[in-house]
Amino acid sequence: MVTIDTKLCTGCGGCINICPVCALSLSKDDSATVNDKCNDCEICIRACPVHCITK
Amino acid sequence: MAHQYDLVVVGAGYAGLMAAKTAGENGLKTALIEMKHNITKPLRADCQTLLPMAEGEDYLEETVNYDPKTGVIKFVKNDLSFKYDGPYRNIYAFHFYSVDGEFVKFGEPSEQRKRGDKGRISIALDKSKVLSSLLGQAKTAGVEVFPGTVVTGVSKIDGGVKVTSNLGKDFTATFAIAADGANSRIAQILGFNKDRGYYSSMTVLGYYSKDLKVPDPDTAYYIGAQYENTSLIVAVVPRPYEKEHVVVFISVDCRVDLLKFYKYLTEETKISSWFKGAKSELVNSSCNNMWSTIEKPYKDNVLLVGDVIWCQESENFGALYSGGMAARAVANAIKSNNPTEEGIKGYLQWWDSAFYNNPKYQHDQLMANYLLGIVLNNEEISYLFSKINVTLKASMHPYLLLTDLGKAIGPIAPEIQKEKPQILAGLGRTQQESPAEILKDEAAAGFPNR
Repeated sequence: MVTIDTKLCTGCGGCINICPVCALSLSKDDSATVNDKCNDCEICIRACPVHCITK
Repeated sequence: MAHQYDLVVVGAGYAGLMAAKTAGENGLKTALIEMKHNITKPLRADCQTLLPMAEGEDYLEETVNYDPKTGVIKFVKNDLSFKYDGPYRNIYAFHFYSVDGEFVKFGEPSEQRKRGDKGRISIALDKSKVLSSLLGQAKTAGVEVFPGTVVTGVSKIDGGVKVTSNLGKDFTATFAIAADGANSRIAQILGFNKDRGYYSSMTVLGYYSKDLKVPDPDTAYYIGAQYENTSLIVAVVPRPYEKEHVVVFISVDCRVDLLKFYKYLTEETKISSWFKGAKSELVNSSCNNMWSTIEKPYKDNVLLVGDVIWCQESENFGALYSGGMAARAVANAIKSNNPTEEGIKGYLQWWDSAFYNNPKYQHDQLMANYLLGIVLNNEEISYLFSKINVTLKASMHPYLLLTDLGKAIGPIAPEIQKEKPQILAGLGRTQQESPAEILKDEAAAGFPNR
């Protein structure tokens, strides 16, 4: 599963709709959060403009 | 079977909020779903302007007006409007720079400023205030708002549509409006992305800057750059506050490290002098799949609006307007008890005549605006801009920029051909090749959600 640095995340949501398995959403503070549907395809890592997603 | 709602709107950006507000005011029982928890905080980077607004300029066969006395932003011909409770600033000119500080002027700000509102080409708004104004009006009109909710599915049901969400909550309605942006999940699920042209996955960083040393406070600037063999645009646009700007870094190639480019631009180029002593804060970002236009923005009781159907070129004009037009069509269909494609055909006819088959709008033109840094290198961009010594018409119209630039290059083409023929060859590529061909490498690195 990917890891999200919520301090760096701007909450743009760019990763959310491109996730092929709907594993991403925004938490209460509007930073991205991932659930266990994540299948490690890493598309979100390439998409994130602020590099807040890693593995 | 009775549905929970007449209309469910997905996405509370400009398009979705305008749709929800218009629907509510037309008496529709409306739900508005948004993935963000805080709808009024602009988390997706953009220039926060409304355009095109230059005198005599139209877009989508419509013009937009802002009257600061009433605070009303109004689309004149079709009488769609909302009240904006926030500050504004007239933008009087648009200047296109190279990283070496050469530039082309679309308008002379000192001349335009003398003409007051008549001389403006756009207005800068506070996006947070636009969102809160629209949200307030939508709520007043009875719209039920569901923040923090990500749409995961959309399906056809008897006489309507069902939208499912990550919270396990379903929404049933007679119609849905998809206003969920460039990466629209709904367009993907309904199959619109299967055969649609795809240009690239574009990444964007948005900064708020204080005390930038720009040449003129009421001018919007673009900086066109080549960086790591691809094309970047930096937009430096006044905010409606003294000495404040929004600075937006845009790359057509998702592989570019924009944080690194920010450092390069603000420390190593001639433009870096603008940033000396200024305070800049990264406030938002975005990653947008750039798709070709959707021909018919409707399927199975779902209407598509805003960035879902075409590439964001309209800087909020098209988002607000298409959202309002779609909601109005839904209201007409429901009032006339005809909740079918026939019932909303006004929206489809409008889209077809105002944009899709309107000869004024070559759909590829928007993407061509972003290609300068692919077909020319920084030295060539600077040389080209240094040769253009006329002031072009004051405008930021996304469909007129390149045409006007081309007109200015015409008379000096023989001189350029003699000194730097590769420049005309590079510019020629934007005529002979489609943007998709020019963006082949960028597209290969992207991630279209087909």
